[in-house]
Amino acid sequence: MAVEDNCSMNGANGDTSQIDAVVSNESSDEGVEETTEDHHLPNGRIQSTPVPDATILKTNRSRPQYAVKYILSGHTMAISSLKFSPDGTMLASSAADKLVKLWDAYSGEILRTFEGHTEGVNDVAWSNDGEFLASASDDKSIILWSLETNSAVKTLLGHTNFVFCVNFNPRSNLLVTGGYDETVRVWDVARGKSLKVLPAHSDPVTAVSFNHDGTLIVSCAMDGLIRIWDAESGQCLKTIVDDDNPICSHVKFSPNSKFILSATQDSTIRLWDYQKTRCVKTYTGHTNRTYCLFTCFSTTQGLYVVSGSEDAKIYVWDLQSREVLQVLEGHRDAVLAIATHPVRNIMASASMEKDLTIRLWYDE
Amino acid sequence: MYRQDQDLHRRASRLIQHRIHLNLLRQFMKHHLYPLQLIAELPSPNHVRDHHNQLKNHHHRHHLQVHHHLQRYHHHHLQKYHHHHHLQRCHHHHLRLHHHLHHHKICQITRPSPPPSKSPSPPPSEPVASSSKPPPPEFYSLPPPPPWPPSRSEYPAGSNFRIIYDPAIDKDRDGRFRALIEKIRATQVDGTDEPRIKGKGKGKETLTRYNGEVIEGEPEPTTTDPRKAPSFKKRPHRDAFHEIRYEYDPNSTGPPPPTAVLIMNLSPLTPTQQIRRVFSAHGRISSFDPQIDMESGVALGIVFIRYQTHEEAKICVERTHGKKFGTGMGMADGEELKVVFDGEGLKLKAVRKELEQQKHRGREEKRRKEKEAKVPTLPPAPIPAPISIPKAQTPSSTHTPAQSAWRPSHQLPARPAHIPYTNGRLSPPRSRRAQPVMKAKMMNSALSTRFPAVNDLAPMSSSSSTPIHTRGRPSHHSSTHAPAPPSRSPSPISRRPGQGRHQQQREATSATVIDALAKNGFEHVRIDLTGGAMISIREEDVCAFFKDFKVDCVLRDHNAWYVAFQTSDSARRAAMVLSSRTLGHHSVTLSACPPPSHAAPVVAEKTSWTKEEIVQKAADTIVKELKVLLEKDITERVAAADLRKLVADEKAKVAETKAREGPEMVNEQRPAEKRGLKGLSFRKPKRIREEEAKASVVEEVPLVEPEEPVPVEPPKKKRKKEVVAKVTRVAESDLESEDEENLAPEPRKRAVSEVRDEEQEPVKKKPKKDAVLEDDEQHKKALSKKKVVKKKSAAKVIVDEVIRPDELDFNVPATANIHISKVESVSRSPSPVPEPPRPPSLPPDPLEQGICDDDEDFYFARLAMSSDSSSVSHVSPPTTDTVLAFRKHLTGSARTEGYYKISHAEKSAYVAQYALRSTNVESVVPTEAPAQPVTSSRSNRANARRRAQGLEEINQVQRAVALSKGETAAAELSIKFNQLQTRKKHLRFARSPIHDWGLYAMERIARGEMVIEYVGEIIRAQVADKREKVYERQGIGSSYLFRIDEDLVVDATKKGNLGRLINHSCDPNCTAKIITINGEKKIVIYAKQDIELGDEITYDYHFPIEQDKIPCLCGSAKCRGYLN
Repeated sequence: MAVEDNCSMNGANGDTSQIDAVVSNESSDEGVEETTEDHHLPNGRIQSTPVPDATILKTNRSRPQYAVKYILSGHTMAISSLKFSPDGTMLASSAADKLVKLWDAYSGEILRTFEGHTEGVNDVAWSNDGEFLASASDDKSIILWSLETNSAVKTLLGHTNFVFCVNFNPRSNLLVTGGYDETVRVWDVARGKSLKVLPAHSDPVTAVSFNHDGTLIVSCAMDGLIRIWDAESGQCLKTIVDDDNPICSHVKFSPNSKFILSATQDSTIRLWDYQKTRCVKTYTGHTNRTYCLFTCFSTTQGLYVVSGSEDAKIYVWDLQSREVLQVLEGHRDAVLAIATHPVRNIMASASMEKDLTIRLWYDE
Repeated sequence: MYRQDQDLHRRASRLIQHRIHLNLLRQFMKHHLYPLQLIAELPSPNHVRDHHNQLKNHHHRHHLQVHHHLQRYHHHHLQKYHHHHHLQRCHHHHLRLHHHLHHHKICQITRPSPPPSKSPSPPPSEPVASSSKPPPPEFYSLPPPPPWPPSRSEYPAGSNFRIIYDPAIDKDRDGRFRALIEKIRATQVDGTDEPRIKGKGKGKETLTRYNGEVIEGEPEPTTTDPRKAPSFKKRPHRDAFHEIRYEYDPNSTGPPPPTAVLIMNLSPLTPTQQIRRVFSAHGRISSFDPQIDMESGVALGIVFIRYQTHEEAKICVERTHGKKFGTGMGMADGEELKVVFDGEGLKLKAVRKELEQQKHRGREEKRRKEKEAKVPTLPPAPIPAPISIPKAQTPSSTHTPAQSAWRPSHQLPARPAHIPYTNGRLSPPRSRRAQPVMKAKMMNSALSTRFPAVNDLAPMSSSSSTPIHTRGRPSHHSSTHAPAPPSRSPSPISRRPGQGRHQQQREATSATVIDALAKNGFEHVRIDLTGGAMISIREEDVCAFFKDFKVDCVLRDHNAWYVAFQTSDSARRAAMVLSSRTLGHHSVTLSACPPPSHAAPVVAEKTSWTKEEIVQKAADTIVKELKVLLEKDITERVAAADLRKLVADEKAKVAETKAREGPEMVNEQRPAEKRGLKGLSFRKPKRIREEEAKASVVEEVPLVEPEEPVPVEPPKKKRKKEVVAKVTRVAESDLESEDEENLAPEPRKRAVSEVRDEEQEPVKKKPKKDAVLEDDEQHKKALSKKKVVKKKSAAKVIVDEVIRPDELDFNVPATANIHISKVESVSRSPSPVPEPPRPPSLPPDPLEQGICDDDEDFYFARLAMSSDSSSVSHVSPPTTDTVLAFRKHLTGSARTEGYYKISHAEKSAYVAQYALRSTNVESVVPTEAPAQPVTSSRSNRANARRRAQGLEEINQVQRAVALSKGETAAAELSIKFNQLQTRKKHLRFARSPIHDWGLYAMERIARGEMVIEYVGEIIRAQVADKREKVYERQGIGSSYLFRIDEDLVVDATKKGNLGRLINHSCDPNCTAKIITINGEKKIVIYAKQDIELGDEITYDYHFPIEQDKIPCLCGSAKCRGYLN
């Protein structure tokens, strides 16, 4: 009677389809090869069918085997965000204890601590050259930290409430932030000035991100909307809304920017083809009801989707088959933050009050 | 001199060589050259010598001129020898030549006349040649001329002669010459050949005179000085070569007359369309070529336009050169256009080259400076410095009619692209010297677009020359350079501060701006512009930009314009309407800002204050305020309580009587309510309702809290509570009496709750809250009132409710504690209560009861009462105020806190759009709300019904009329609607202070005009019922169901138009009407009053009264407080 027919989404058609590529821009069948065999049909078309034997064989080989290698502790309050530096040598962590810490990703040593925020820090982001860190905080400010001088370079003021998420554009001359004042702001990093204020959402903005060439911005908010913006003009190009309108906790572009990965607080992670406004994959199994958990692609080994969970575990899905490949246990509280290493098979995860540790997981 | 004659001859012979019309030429020569020579045959009287010296001067001058002419003559003839008409030109030339040569001849005859066969010696004053031997013809590398005149021998050698009569040209009317010829012939005795007479046949002979010989009867030749003649006019002296111009034809030499013009000094910000439009007024443009900087793509302010004809180009140059380009928006002021002919684009090339060089030089200079300074400064930017068109001109100049106009400006200051203001004032030849300085400055301003801090470093040359004496005297500068009248912004030029003083000046400006804005008191619009745009936009432009609004004053400081208005809401409306437009071809960001408080200047002065002073001052202020508040509280709460009780009793009686009359009226209403469609239209923020079910109190409080200082809270809160209680109570009693079904469970519930905790404050109707309210402290406090409550409640439920208000008055501490007890403490996110929670203990002092909520209040109250002088040792930091506005996360940060509900009231503290509303609501609600909903909600509902019926009736009437008139009327009606449809109003949606999104008028809408149709799916009521549930379950915050009639509902949730975004207001500017067109019912929003530009469009939703209150956030003065 009502609206069931409105947006055909995440239905069976979506889930069985193959995604040609998430990582590379050439639509190579890398992801497909993992689990399927191509049958060259007489008419020249290629039909992909799953081959059970091969799947088992290959998944055994390709199944990730992450194990904890380092346990880093240092934060005194819940850790909110983790990010590997672009070259993978460092790991930045932010926490509710108002601090941003830098760790050596390979040895687990603490490198330095940035103090300056007057309230808890919600998110941290690396500039593309690894020279700067941007941290978004409850004190309504964003601070740019220079690794060279080891100090705060700029404080960006403008948000009228907690700043929740932050990201650089690929050229790292712009910064995009979102916050509880329901706006998405684009900042000029060099001038430290707000370039645009997008009256984006009607609830706190939970994630903002640029695509791989910096032309688009994706944002999501607790009002359940995912919006795609033209970074240049600030115009809303597309709004992706789920029928059930669950609170959207995280969103990011796939490495080739052809898809967006969104996590919602109905314990579901979805991969959207935003050009067709179609949900192509749905990943479930974890628990996400309250927090804005991070979700990551892992591309170093196979193609995985990684997310923390409120049941203190970390889930690793196969991107294509949507099957849970590994569940990492060890944390004693909800795993809020997770980060995947850009080049090596390393993951970092961090947990909340009851745990307060950062764990580095290696699969090597 | 003679040499020149020879030249002439030689050239003439060349003409012959080139196969001209020989006859013509010869004739020409004969008539004009020979007579010239014949001058020489004049007798040489001594007095001629006297003339010699006098003539010398003339000679010099004329010689030059003649020389020049000869050159031109030659040039001309070389190219155009084969045409007939050129001879006429030659003719012309020679006539002139004749004249000049005349003087030469006069000079020449002072010497013994040389034999014509010999090379003539030049006159003594001849500057070119030596006297003894003539120089070879050095001007021309032509082959030596054939002897000319060819047969000089036919004239007697060694004698001067003159043809005194030639029948071909001379008229001999009276036959004097013929007679003379006859006479001469007669005197000729000896021979047949008389040398003086030549020619064939009678009447065709020429008469020649040799060496001044005369026969008797013949007039004596006399020398006359033509200058002595009375008609002789001294010609004005000439300082320069005289040029002769000819009409251009296909055979003319040189390039054709230019059809193209080069326009310089345009503002680079002028759009090309505009330029084209302006210049196409002078003629048809065949090509239009605006020049851009090849590196940066910046317009150079130079345009090359080719017209179809030279005349058009000429008109263009005449009309526009030196004029200012249209005074439209965005023009740099005082720029005079340079418009010059540029037939072949050579000037354009030159200008471009010059620009390049300037840029290059600028870069070099920069580099050099950098090296010198050895300081890492800003990267070099392309600097177009003033350019000049190089003097080296093209052949086209010879054909330029406007040469004189062009000449004074042959060095054009081409304006640098980035700074249209620096030159145009400075004439480039003079500024040449100062160029390094200039360049440095321009660099600054060019950089300022990237680095706004450097913005003010773009100075005038005068300012930069005096940086030292300005630096030391800030006071002087603030007085002299600060704009004196706040209402008028100084001109951008005078405002541009010098390097040394920009800091002070900037501060002074912003101070005056702040002052002026504060004086205005209303919101203002701030226009942020980047460096370049800031400069090119003038005050008039800004005024014009805001002409639709009542502008009070326009101000500017170093990087923004401020526009203050005469009315309070103009700023917001202006920001709404104009944010999508462009000002002077720049897209601008407009933001409406609240008026600056005068706190800012205080902060500025703060440097001179010690910390103790500030604390002291703050303490004084606080204590003063507290005192006032305390007095107010005492009168209101203690004294007014009795008064209120009386009033409430009266009201209760009225309500009772009303309740008895009630039931009959409601029965008809019931079916709709049972269906769940609670009225004509409804739109419920579902989340709010949800939350309300849990804790309506919690939601109410922060509405007041965040903005108010702590001490003011209690009274407000209390009043608010009262309102809530009253509203809900009245509504409930309404329902109870009207609705039998509802009547049953309600009293039961209440009874239960009262039994369960009798001492409980009876305001709480909801069991959930009751449970929470278990608090010993409250019991104690409530005890004093308990007896009263018990008595009345035992008697009657309604009565129990009636007396509640005065209970409330005494129970305020209890209500204050309600939200402290954390309704939502189960969830991770506590309610947005200020941290830390106040201890619920109450001071025993009876005076304080009902006035002070907690220690803090009490402390301050006592402090205020004790005395002003008792200075405060430590004053708690006033940060509580700011902290109150925002939740403090228990876990430390927003992300670790997880999801929690944020009410609209809370959002008003930080969501910009809501800020306005929150202030309004607070000021309005406490005073307005009491008792109003009783009549208004009920009447609203009735009115809504009536309205619907009425409209229906009107439609029926119309239809009947239409039928009676035939189909035409009906058709008219629909046409009218269709017309309205097509004449759509310009509307725009944006974030609204009322609720998420709102619709705004982008044009003025007159009263009664149709604004928009509310479009959506038309569904049956049952369907709507189901959908509503689905939507609620899905968490779609707003419902977009609009009831048309009993059976049909318009659902705009998934399909609809902008109409669905219109928000509710208790004092709307539109009404929704249901009209029937071709039997189809449509919801159309009409303007109820004139709607100004940028106003939000609202209408009254007319929600039915419900128990679950939806707070109204319309912020209007007539706000009822709730939607339903």
